[in-house]
Amino acid sequence: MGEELQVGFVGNPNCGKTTLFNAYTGARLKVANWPGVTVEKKEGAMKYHDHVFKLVDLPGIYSLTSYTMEEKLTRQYILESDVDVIIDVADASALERNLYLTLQLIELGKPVILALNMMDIVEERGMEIDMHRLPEMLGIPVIPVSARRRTGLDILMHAVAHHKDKRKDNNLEHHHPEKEASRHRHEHHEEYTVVYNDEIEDKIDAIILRLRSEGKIKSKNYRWYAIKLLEMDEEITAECGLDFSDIIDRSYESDIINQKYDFIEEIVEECLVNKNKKAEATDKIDKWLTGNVTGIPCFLLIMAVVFFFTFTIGDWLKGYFEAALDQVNAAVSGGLEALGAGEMLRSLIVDGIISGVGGVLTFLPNIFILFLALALLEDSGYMSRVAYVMDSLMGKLGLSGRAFIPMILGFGCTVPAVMASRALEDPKDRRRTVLVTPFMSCSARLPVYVLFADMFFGRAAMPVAFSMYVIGMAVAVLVAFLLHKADHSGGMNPLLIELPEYKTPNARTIAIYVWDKVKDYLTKAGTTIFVASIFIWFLLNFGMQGMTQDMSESFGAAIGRVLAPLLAPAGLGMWQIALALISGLAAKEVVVSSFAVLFGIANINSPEGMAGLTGILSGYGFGALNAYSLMIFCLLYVPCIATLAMIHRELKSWKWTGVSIVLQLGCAWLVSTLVFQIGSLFL
Amino acid sequence: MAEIVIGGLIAAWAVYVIYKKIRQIRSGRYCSCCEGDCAGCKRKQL
Amino acid sequence: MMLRDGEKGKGYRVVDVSLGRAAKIRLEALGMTNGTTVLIMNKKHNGSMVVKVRGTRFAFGAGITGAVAVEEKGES
Repeated sequence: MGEELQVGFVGNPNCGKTTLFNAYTGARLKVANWPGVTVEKKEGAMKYHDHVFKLVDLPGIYSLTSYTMEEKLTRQYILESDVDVIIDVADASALERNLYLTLQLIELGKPVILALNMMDIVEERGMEIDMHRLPEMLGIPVIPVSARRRTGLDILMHAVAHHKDKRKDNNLEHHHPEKEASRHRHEHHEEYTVVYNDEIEDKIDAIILRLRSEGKIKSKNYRWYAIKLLEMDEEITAECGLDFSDIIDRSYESDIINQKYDFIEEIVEECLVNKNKKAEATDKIDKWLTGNVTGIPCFLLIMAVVFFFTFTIGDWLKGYFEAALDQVNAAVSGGLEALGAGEMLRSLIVDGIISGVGGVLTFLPNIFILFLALALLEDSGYMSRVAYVMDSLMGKLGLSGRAFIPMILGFGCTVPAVMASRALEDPKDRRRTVLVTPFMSCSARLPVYVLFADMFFGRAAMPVAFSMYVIGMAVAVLVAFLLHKADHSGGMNPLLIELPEYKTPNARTIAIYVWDKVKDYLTKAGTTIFVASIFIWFLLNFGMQGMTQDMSESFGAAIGRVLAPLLAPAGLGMWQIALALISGLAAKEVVVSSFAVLFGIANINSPEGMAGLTGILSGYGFGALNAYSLMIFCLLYVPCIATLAMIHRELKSWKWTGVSIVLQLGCAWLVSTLVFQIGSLFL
Repeated sequence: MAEIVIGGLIAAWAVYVIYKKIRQIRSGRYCSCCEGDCAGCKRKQL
Repeated sequence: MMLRDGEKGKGYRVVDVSLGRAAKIRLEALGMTNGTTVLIMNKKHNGSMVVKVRGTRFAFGAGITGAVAVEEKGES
């Protein structure tokens, strides 16, 4: 008999709840807002045999207090709506922590099914969970799943469909070995998963009695209301409106929480096996990676290794891409000739599009390796340590290590990094982080470094490019410090982060992540960079009198000449460079494309292309120091439009967005000028 | 003739890309890596 | 004494948490309740620490370690 059931997905943040939810709903997802608030509500539907399930994904929460909007929403949803079954998604590898929410959910009174997610990680770590004892102790079905590997999904839904088939004897069993024998009515132990000590149970009974006769509450779950009243929950106390001061003499919140955790400890003791082996390995590794003296050097070393691979392996793979690009070039040129295409079209396609887009595509190997390395670091569990290692340093800047995480994300792309600053509660800290994060060199700037380092620095190319990352961090740290001095913000954002156990990175996770990034890169090349290349080609080949032969009479040149004098002190006083830098607003990789189009270099990443460009640039007096200055300018100046838009969205003010832009341009100009001028004295 | 076709295709694609970008920026989805799901980026914070 | 003054490698029992409501609830949800035993794994000069709470490793900033009152295990 086909039923329609409403199923709610609840769970801690980062337990894979959304991945699981998506695995069921696929593309049929609807995202809206919960009424009256800015919290997202995701709804989907699915068919299971002849049932129709309406699925709702609730926000990730750690507990069900009345303190945050997400918690209140979830409580209200479970108590007052027509939801039939709650799926509690828990991270099996962090069972203790997740069970706290489970117990609270069970107390709400609606049917709960525990979906133990990430079972594959549990296996990897050599842990085992007693899947017979656990449901017995909790009194609810427990289904192991792995959203990533898509196992257990059907079984979970099967359990949902049959949630009403409760066995008569719930198999609820408790042991309270160290506790005083309860003189309380024994039925409680068969009905309720969590049973408190006698004092509290007595009070609960008394409160329920009064609620039944005098209270007006929204649901029938008197026990839950009693517990909340004993915890002195604000929302519930207000809702009940009765005076319980004769029963509730103080807040029993701590007692209740502690007793829940006592029970959790029992559960873990009985049901979780082999927790400790990996723990030792992790502790040993952490001695080095988070040691007071060794922490930061290890971090720098790891970063250096990452970039070493990015360059060496990247360069090695690059050869294939260059060769391919040459082929494409030849084929297209030939093809266009055969079609009798005009010079303008040929120039647009070959000198504009293929040079510009092709030039950027050849850097794909470097990007690939970079993201691969970052993914490995993150999946292994190291990234959390970085926040801790940096915390003391960040503290001197008036920031917490918490702010370092958005900054680290900036190595990939500044957009999510800026978004991640939302995790900081203090608005001034948030603002400072947003202002400073763009200095962390994003992956889009990498092609610029690789190109110019290779062109002008030969053997030293890798350390030179790596120095960009170090300079970026240094500037970020310095600016954060200065901003802190200028505006002593509260900074009550103490670091609070879990350090998971180290594990061997999961091949499939990494593959999915890296592939996503590669796809992004290719898409960017085919869209933003494609259009930008056309636009630049146009600017360079058309002037006041129509199509020009000499680029220096084009619109582009005119624009560039306006800014070139300003860049002269930094050794960048060529209109071509100014134009290339402006084009970087579309995407930083476009700077490379611009150079290709500007100087007519077909395959800019190839040895011939680079030699050609180096030669041309030398003709203008542009040498290694200028190149270094250029890289620094690219590192520090305004990021791409997408990032600017995101910055504006986070700062919510034109004034501060303006400050951000001025700050970036100012630093870029200042540092590159300093480097160039001081460098000129020595070289 | 071929010129016009090719040129037209390029122009059409360029226009399409610009249109999509503007829509993207206006709707707030700035980066394909997030697709609006900020949870993924806040993942490590407690 | 405060957690911040604890020694690396030693265990302590939590006595009180004097932080704002939100932070306190967050810590409680993570298992750091009154009466819990915590083990200090690592300690920095500025007060941030790596602490094991109920089997899970956490990194706490000085703002937290300075607000958690503890007593040595074996006392009381």
